[in-house]
Amino acid sequence: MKKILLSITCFVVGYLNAQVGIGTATPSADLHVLSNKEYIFTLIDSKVVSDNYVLTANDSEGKIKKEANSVFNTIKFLDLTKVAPKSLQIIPKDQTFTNFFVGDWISLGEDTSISLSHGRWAVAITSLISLDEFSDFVPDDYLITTLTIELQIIDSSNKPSIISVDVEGDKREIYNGRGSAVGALVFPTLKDILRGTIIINNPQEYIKDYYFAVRFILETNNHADSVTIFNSLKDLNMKSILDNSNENQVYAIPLN
Amino acid sequence: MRKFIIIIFFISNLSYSQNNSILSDGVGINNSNPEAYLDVNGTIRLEHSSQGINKILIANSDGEVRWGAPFELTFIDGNLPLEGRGVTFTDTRPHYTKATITLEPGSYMLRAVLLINNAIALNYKQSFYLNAFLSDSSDSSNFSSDYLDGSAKIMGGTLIGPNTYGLIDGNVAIRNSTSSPKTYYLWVQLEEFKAAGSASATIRILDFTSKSWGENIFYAIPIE
Repeated sequence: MKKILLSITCFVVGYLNAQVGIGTATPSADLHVLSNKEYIFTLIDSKVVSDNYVLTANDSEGKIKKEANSVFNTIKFLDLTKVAPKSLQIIPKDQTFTNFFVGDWISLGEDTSISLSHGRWAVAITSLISLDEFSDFVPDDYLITTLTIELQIIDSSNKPSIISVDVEGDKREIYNGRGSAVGALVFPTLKDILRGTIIINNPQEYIKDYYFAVRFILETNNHADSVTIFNSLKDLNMKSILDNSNENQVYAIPLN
Repeated sequence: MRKFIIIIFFISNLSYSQNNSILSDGVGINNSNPEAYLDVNGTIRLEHSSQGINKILIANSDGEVRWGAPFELTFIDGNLPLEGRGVTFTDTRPHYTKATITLEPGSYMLRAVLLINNAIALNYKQSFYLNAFLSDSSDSSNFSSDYLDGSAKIMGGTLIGPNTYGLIDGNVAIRNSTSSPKTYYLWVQLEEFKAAGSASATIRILDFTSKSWGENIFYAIPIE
């Protein structure tokens, strides 16, 4: 046996026309590895960047390669416990009246981001949306007014209007879903839930940070007091979106 | 090369256990022209403590390989009270709903979808918000101590008049860190809204969390 092994080290190419055992003297397959160590073997190639590769046969010839796959990651949570309460302006002070107002996208900032490694992820978003600035109950005038809050995932916290290039579903422009999460306050309700699931496919071989942006859509339904309501809402701010409120969470589920 | 082949040609079972052997152009097993560093024309058997039925090979960032289970989804059902025995409540104090779920040690994503039906129809000036949460006790409305970091604690939903029905639809993550099964208790609290000057709604939510509503679900999925 030793003679054979010494011969192997001397040649560039080894040819073993036999059943080969590594760690076992009684191989039961053409290559039989019996490992008592933490891992079975080590496969080094150029794709050594992040965890969770699976070994796949890439063609009919049975050649094996490492393929990044997020399925074997665990669910990832965004830690919102350190995110301070936010107060977001619903309507700019200089905005002229319209009974269907669509605001600009507003970034939730650097401190609200989720880091995802290579692969597809279902990012589930739940957030409290709250207007708590009414000292008592909602003025009668506000009825039949709806405030919709839309949320999207972005690549840069400085560019809130540009949806992440990794959002799957060909974006919001053609309204085929998976591009945004949404919630609405229908007055007199001052508290409700924004929720949705956005599919992210990170094609990079590195971990990427994703950020969030929201915008407000106000429908006043063109009744007698619409202008009054519109102008008074300029003094109100939206609270609780993806801050440390007890209702809030963002997590990502790995997909195959 | 020829010498080597001749040497091993007559060996039917070869046990290779030596360390530090370098074959820079590859090894062929039943293959004299290897196209990869290891080219096996035949079967491979990898015995390891991580092996198991239907497992696949997974490599870490150092290229170290072991068997691992592919993604698997299992459900643990919660216990919802029987028809006619759900909670009917009329005030804003936290109420134990009689819904429970018992979980083995480990981490779980817990989901609840619960119908909200008020016995008296709300008008368009009336609405309320319900928040449901888990406690470690049926006697105390304190949040469970087992919520995972990053998890929400409250699952919220609304009923907005003149709708007859609303829904709580949410999920939270929880970890039973004990060494034995643990029961979690679902509580709920109400917050009312109304237009100024309008009458308070008569709130009497029927059969909350009961099996009598086909919409109600309460389950957990292991996440570790």
